[in-house]
Amino acid sequence: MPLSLSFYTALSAILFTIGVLGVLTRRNTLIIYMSIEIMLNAVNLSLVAFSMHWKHLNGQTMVFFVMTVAAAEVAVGLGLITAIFRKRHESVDVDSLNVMKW
Amino acid sequence: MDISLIIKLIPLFPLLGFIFCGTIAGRFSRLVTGAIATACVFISFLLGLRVFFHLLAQPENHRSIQATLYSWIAIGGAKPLDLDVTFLADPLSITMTLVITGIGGLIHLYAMGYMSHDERYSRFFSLLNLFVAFMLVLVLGASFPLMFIGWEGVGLCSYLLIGFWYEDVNNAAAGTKAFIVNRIGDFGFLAAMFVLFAATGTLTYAGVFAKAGMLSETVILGVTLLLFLGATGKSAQIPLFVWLPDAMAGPTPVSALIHAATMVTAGVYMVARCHVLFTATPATQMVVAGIGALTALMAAIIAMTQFDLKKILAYSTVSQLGYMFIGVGTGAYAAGVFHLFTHAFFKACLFLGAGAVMHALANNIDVRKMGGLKRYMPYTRWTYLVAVLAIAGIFPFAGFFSKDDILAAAFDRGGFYTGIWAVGLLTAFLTALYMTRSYLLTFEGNERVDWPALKSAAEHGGHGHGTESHEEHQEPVAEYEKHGLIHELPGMNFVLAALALGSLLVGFLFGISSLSPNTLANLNFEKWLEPALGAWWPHAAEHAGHTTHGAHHGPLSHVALAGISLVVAALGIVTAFVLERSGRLEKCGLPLVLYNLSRGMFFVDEIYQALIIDPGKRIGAWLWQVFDTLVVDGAVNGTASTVRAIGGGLRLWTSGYVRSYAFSVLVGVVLIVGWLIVQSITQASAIPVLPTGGAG
Repeated sequence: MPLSLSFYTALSAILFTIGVLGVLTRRNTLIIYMSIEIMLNAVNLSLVAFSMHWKHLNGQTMVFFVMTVAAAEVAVGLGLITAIFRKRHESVDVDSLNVMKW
Repeated sequence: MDISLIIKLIPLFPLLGFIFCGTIAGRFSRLVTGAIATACVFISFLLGLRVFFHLLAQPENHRSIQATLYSWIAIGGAKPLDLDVTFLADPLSITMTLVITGIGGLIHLYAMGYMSHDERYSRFFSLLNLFVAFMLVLVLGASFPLMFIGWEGVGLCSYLLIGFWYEDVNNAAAGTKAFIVNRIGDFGFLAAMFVLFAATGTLTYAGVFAKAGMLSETVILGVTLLLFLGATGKSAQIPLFVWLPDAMAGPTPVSALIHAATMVTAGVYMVARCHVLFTATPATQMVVAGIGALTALMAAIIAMTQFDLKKILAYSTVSQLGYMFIGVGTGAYAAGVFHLFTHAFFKACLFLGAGAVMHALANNIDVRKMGGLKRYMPYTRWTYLVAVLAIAGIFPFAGFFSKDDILAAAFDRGGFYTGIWAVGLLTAFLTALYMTRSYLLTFEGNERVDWPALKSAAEHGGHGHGTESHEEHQEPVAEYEKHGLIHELPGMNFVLAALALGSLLVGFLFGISSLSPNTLANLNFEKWLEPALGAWWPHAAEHAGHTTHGAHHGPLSHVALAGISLVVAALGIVTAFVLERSGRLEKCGLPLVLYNLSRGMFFVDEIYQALIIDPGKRIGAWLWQVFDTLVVDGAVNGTASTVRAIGGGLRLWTSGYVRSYAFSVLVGVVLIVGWLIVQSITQASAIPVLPTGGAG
């Protein structure tokens, strides 16, 4: 039987929550990045699901844009992380990046 | 030549004189500078005469010419104000013009001799000319703002001229006092202008007086009281007269011109000009007449015990101004202006005579050091005597007619004004008394002059400022030497003679028809002023195109009243002689309480100091030390420190801790999404729904 919409949105919500928890609780910058990707993909899933439900292509078009932006963001972000890794004594611990405190 | 052009030129010449004397006069000799300044004033006099004769040639109800210079203010809108710089020539303003320029010109001539040793000669004449120019603007202006410009301008020149010898800080302080006290009066004038504009929408005389009938009683009462406040400031009445005695610190020609003949009469002129407004409020008229009478009496009492000759004359001016205000307050506007006219002659003569005495005695002004000067200064003595008789009100000198007209008007009006008449009569007695006293102390009697000091002053070259007693020069001065030490200047003598002649004649010539209507009826001063001032109050009802000033109302005829005034004045003079015989002239026969009050000038300065100036200073100090420091600075600094504290609290949030930033973002997102959900539940379709169909 075809899956109803609620399955997809539930999965999307679960994925999103996992991503959020990952961003909040993990210390390794790369893991945080992966969590961000999980959040983005959760949103993509939700968009495609709705697009299927309403028989409408707008959602899928948005997914294209989101994926493009995510790719660009990953490129820039990894470049940043590499720079930090080299500068900050071979560590990517996010807690150690606290120079901007008061 | 077109008459309106002549009118426009009248204030111009003294202005040119001011510019000339103030700028390039340094290249010319003193004679040339003084002569040009005097000539400018006399040219204005001649122009004024031309306009005067032009007006005489017109029929009575056509004696008012307006000459517009340019459009000054043109503001549209809901309450438009359209004001031109316009000069008005009617009997009142031309009379004032002739007085200002005629007597002013004579005083300029006098000053050429008097100030000849002063180093700032050209500055003096430039200021005198500027004063005459402003005064002419005051009397010729056809609207309140223009009068106010002249009003302020003469106040400024008065300040500059009183403090002319500014090296002595007392002179500068006297000038400042005059200006500040005047300013208080100016506040009244300004407020009156504001109310007038709000009530009538115009500020020209023609406009305002045409609408005067429509104004409510309270408005007219307020306006006239405020205007009178301005007049008390400029014309030295209670409560703002305190500047005039101090103003004697200025050179004597200044005292003669500004503080006797012209500036102080601006208040009287203003009340006379606004007679339409004042006639409409009997209450203000009582205030004006009452204050005039009170001031006249008080100043006369003070003058009785002063030893400074110029102060005696200053208080005498205050007193005579009180008479003028009695005149205009009673409704006899023409009588008040007539007294203004005669007063200019004899007061200028008195002041210039005092100046001649000072000049001869090396600036000594204390009558206790004068006496017996009649032997050495005959011109001055006789002109001074004529002026004293005029101010005392002896027939046929000038003061008799003008003073009598005022008193008769007060008596005729009856009721409250009979009291005014009584006070005026008492003051006439005192006036005759103290003026004769001043004459006797100066010119008659034993010589109390400090001859050795004079001799040393003369030997040390020039005229010193004040007599100093040198211990080494106590040898007695021989009789033959005395005549050489005291001298009169011919230029000054001429002016004194001219003014004395005026004091003798003008009252008789222009006022005699008040007593007996058929004599010289066309020359009657008050009839001449009628087009501008309306009929004289007691005769307004029965005015039939010709003067009937001989008609009488009430129990006493005009002639009988005149006789009473004459007797009273004569009594005053006789009393002065009696007091001199018995050697009590210096205390003037006053009981001790009155004497102390009079000597202390009624302690008005001290009262003001205690009631107004000191509390004002304390309030100022409190405001500075407490209010400004705590409240104002506190508010400003407090705002800054509050912002700083909040900022300090907020900055603790920037921990530099990336994960807490991410958490804050999450919290914000949750809140917004939650709010949107709540909204969509409570209202249908809060969030726009995607359209169905489309590309599918």
